[in-house]
Amino acid sequence: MNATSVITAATPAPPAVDAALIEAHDLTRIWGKGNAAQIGVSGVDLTIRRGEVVAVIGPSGSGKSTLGALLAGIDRPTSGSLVVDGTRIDRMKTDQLAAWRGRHVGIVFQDFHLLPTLTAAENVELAIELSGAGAGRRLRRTAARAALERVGLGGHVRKLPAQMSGGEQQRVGIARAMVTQPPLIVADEPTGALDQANGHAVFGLLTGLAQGGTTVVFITHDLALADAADRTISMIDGGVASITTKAGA
Amino acid sequence: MRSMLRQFKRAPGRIVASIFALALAVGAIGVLAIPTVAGGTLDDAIERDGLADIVVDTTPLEASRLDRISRIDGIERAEAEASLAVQMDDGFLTRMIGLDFESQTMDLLHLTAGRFPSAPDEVVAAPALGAVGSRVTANGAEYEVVGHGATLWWSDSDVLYAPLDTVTALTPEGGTNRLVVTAVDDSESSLRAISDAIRAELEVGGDTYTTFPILMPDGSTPIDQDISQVSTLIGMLGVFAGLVALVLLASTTNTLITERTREVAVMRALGGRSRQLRRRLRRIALGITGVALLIGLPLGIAISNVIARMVLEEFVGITPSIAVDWWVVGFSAVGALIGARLVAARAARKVVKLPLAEALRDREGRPFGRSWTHRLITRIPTGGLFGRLAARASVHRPAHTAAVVVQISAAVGAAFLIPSLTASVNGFNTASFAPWSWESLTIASDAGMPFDQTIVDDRTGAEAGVWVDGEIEDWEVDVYGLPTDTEFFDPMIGEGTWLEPDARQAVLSAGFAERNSIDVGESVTLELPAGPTRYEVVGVSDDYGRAIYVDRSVLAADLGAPGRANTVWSADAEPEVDWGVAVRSDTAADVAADDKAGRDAIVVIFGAIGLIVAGVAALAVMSSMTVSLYERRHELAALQAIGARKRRLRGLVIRELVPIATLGIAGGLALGALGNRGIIASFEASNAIDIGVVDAVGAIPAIVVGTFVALVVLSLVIVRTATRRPVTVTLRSAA
Repeated sequence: MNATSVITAATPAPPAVDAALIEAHDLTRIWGKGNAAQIGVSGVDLTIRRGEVVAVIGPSGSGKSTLGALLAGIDRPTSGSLVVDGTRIDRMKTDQLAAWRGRHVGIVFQDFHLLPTLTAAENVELAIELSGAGAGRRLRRTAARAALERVGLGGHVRKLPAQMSGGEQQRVGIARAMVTQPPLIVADEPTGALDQANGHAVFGLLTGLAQGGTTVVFITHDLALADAADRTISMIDGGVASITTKAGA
Repeated sequence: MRSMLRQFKRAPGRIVASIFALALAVGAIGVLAIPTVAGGTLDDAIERDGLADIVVDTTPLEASRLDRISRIDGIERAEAEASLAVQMDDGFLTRMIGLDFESQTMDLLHLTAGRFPSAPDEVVAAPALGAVGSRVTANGAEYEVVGHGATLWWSDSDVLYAPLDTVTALTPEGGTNRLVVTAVDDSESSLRAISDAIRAELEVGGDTYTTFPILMPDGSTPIDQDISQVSTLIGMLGVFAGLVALVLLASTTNTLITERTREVAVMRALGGRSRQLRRRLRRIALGITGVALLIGLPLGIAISNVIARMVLEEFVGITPSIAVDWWVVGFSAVGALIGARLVAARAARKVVKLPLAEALRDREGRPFGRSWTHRLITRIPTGGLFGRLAARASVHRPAHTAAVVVQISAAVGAAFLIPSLTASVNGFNTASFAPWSWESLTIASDAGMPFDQTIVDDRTGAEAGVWVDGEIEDWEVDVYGLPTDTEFFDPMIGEGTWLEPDARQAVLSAGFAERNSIDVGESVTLELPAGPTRYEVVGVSDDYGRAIYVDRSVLAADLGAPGRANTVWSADAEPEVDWGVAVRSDTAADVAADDKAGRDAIVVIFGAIGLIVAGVAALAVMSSMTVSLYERRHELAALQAIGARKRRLRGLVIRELVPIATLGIAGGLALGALGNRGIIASFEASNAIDIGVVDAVGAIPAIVVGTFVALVVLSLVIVRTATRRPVTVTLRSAA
């Protein structure tokens, strides 16, 4: 039994690929009140299946990042319901949501948000520890190394974020997101801070995860990347303008 | 101004916190003004009430003798007063002071209500003795209280002031018995010469001093020494408070600048020149410091006046009016502005020098991993992932870590210093009483030697002797004349021997002898009210006092009263003796209670100052911690985003704090212990006595637990505040 399988064993076996992973109904997020109210998303109804790769596109201020934050559970809707992997998360308290995120979501940020004082391996290990997988330190370390190997950073395990390039840091971010094999990965403009070559490499890694049954939702401005998704959700003014499904998806 | 307002609107909470922190720092410097404020009030009182340069009790003086004394070279004016111990009808023992209200120029009575006496049976009284218009009884006679008031000399006692003739008629031997003198030259040497000349003039007429003359050179007062000692202590604590305030000032100013790193980077990217940006940053810091001064300076004036009032009411019995030490105000203002300018300049240089790309990109401050200390700490096993995060966060921001350690040290130092000083003073008092084993002490209320040394010979467990003030090597000393076979004093001879009967031998306090280089076998000159005399030092006593012990017969003869005494020590708490004169009897319990009351007052004063120091330091810790976590809010949000609960974050902050707090506590305890030793050593040197250092070891557990509990509570509050906003909002604000 290798280390990766130990982490895998701690998560439940995935249900059928075509079952819904995310069900959002009338999802609304508004900041402020009265005249100062600012609408993030409004009245979004959405269903995303397991193993699906979904791109969210739209102009700045259209609400795509807000939708991504709601789906990832790092923000809570003002109203509406949101069920992810069979759990209604819109009513969870802060700490419950944090614990849920640790087990069910991997998040990839445009700005990486790696812990600056931890090495690449430690950043990845941290996600395992916070997921509550229950693996021992040695197994966690081995799993973290394996995840970094998968993203092509086997030789960088001891490097600190400040000693790596942006592309390398983002790959550490992906390794951190996928190491616990969550059913959902949400990536907010994961290639936004990278050059084209690095961007394509990172995107390849993300879509590769979907082949293992992981649902990947990524927010992007890059229409070429969006074309590679199974479905593309186009947003305008906080609402879903259109949903395009790729032929054969 | 508009720029300041914009800054305020942008982060009102943080600006207000900075202003408050700086204001308290400036206010704490006000502690340094306490001695001057107290001294200024005393100087005003001396000027107002015409304090004499020499005060001494004498045998009754005739008018012609006073006239001859007035003509002694160097004397500007000599006046006679009368002083008599009286008992009020409720048993309260006090004094009636006879003054010539019409013509006196010294010891002026300062009325707070009513008028001066104009009839023999009218008095001015301390308010505690009777209301204006009421009648009081003293020594069986009735007097009408026509006013309330006091002279500076008697301001710490509740006494009656009556016309001079009224009191002279009541004194046992009739006549004035107190001499007050002002000199043309009030230097110490001049006053000593005048005092000797007066003593010689008295001897011509068969008169003598009955107490040791009190000289007040250069406008000083008899309580100057007390005030000076308290002032020294306050000054030391003030310096401590000032240093802590400087740390707070530096850390707050540094933060104000550092948190604008990205803003400055954007301005640099847009073409802002370094000099221009540095000036802008300095202006922000100076503007905030200026506003803080508007609050801090009045706060400092208030602090100095409140504590000066506590000191003067306790030690002098006068309530001062508001006074301001403009030097300290000026120093605080200029110091704060210069300090803020220097710290801001340094911080601004640092911020402006950061590589632009790095400053624009990096939100976590200086990148971690570029220095050898960073690389070293990543290789040291420091526990689990959260342990590593905690350890590396401290190394990542060494200046912040050092500042928090220093701030905790200052708070703990103040918290340890105050009980340690109290313990040292308590230990000293206990040691001072240790040689004595009497149950009651009876002293003649009026000056002179009214008892025969045989007054209690017919009873066991009582001894008569002499207790007067004297001087050795210009130090005021307690002079005890004891039976050489005394039962009430254990001489605790450290070196040499105890006294032999009827010999001109003396035993000195060991600490006093050592500090004045007086060895056993040497002779020492003792100044007594009647003049100088010499004794051979045959031993030293480990009594923690500043005293000389001699045979009572020899001392009484030296005082011009052979076979007489003024003090009785007894094993009986209430000895039934017909004293024949007014006496004051105190039991050991009374003396201990008085002693405790005095100590408690000092402890309250020091406690108040300690509280200010500890408060400023605690605020500094709070400010630094809040700023640190504010700077790391994105890191905390990132941790939350990947699944960390608040419990984990609290654990992380506490793990970071434990080593910092441990270092701070250790440093603080060392600082407190050193401070205690320094202050006690200064007291020992300035009093020529042994005091002994006692560390309040019993307070350490409470200080340690209190510090940790305070830090844990602080962490909880800070984490709660830092995680209040949705994770996504915090993370987005980083972008």
